[in-house]
Amino acid sequence: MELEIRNVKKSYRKNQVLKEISLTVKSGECAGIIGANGCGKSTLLKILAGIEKADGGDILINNEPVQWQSSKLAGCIGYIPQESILIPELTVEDNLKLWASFGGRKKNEETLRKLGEQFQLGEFYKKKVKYLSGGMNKRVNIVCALIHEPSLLLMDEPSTALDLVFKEELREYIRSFTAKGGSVLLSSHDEGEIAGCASLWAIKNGITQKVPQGKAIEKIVSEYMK
Amino acid sequence: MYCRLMLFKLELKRFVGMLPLVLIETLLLGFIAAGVGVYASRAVYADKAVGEIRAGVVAEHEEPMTKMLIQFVQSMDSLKDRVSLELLSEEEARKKLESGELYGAVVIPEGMVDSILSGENLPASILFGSGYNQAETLVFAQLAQAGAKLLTTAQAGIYAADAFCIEKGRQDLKSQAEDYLNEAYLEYALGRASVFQREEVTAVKKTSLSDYYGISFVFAFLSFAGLSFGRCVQVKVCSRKKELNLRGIHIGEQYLIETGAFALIFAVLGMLISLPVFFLLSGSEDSTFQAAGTWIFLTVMWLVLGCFLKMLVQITGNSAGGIGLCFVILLACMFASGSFLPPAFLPVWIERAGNSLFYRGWMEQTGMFLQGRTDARVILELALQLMFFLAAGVLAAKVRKDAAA
Repeated sequence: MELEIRNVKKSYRKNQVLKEISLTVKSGECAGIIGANGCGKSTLLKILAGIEKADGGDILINNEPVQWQSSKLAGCIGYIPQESILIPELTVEDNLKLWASFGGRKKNEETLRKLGEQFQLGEFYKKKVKYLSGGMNKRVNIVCALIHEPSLLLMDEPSTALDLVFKEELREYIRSFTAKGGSVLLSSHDEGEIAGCASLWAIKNGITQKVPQGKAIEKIVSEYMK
Repeated sequence: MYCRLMLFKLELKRFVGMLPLVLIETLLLGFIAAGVGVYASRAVYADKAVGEIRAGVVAEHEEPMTKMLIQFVQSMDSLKDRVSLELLSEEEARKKLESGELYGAVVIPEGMVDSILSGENLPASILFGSGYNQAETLVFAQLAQAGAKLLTTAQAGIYAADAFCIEKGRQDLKSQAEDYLNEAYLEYALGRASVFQREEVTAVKKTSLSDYYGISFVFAFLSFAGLSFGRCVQVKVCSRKKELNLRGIHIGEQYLIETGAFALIFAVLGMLISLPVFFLLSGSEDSTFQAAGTWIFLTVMWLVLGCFLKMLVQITGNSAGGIGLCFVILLACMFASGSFLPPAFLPVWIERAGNSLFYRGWMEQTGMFLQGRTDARVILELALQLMFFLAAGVLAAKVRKDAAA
């Protein structure tokens, strides 16, 4: 699935966070958004996920314009926010059941079983979310976003709180996801994650700039992330 | 639809899982509330049980009786500081009774004195204010009843002296004789104890005192239980709520689903707590409760209370400050509605404020159900309140969502 956005704007009262955001994520590609803290990376992902409303701009899927916050858009996007979407007083299993209850139930349950194995959730199924570690919580959040098999994954700093082993597993998952034709747009401060992106977009002063390919990671950090 | 049912089921599960902790917290909050209630009662009634009794005397025609009545009451040590009498027309009296400025008024008919002397005995009318349940009004009622008997006797004596003076051609002694007899009656003949009849005055309307406190205990306990639940209510528009909204379960629906689950668990808890208490009370001698089918309406009552508490938490928020504010609001509501002290003993302005709060009505309706009575109007009123609380809660949830955006 190919995603293109043009001239996206967003203000919070008088503060214009996003002035002119345009970027493209090609089918089967993992694209990264980088920038200093507070530059608007999370805001952009929230707008794409439909959680926040854009003040202006267009969004195209496979070169066709679609409405912001439409069910068509929501149906093909899987969003992993920074904060947890889980209900802490319930078990991992209950939380997964909730997110699996949307759309095709039987299909989702089958996907859930496979994802559970892949993300090694088995032994935590009966554990209440409030007793999970940060990394484990993140894993369950990732599974929740993947249950309905989206074709575009939006990940807001996905590797935060994950241990090294699982970080690597997540990268592996992203590679296999894109290999199957899925697209990924992630925001990150993690050098390893940035290095794994096929294309990079930097947000500076509310405007996107495409980072030239082959640029050394040190230069990227010093130029766009400070 | 399936996802909504799933969310409802999971919310039910969440609230059930919270029950043990909620019960412990409720007991702690209950202790604090009881302490505050006792302190507040003492602060209000440290050395004063009943406020000044303001009463009117209506005598459209010149009657020596009127003057005597005022003189009579104001000369009694035990009453002069408590009772103030005002001479006014019937129309004025009715207006002041309606506005609550007077607790009662005595209407003296024309020719009352002659009628007493002739044995016809025209009755004096006693008018009571709308706040009949106020302690002052109740005391006035008893006082008027006792006073009427006293005056009949006293007046006959005084007029006998008048007639004697006239017959003996000593009209100049008439006033002196009246004053003397007045004093004599007060001092010797009319023992003050007889002013107050030995009749129990109940300040809790149609229930016994133990029934009344049983109801108020259950309301206080359940209100604090609701507050403990409130800590885990999802008030803020978090990522999960936004995600659910995006997938078709709108914020208003989410509020209704959560409130539905909460109110259901709350109603079950309410029945589990209240039924044993009320059964126990109904066994006592002075209880007015009687086991009947109407007890089932208590479920509706607890559903309404649950929705009210959920709405309150949705408005105040469930941060430490929000829960604290809720606690204070509940305490104030319960105090003004007479949960800690029957309304008759509350200062007039608090008692009046309590009239417009829900708790007093709920307590009276609960008493009614427990006595085996009900009527369609009460059920309709509860249903309307339920809808109002749900609508207000949905509105508050939407306001929060818009504010977050």
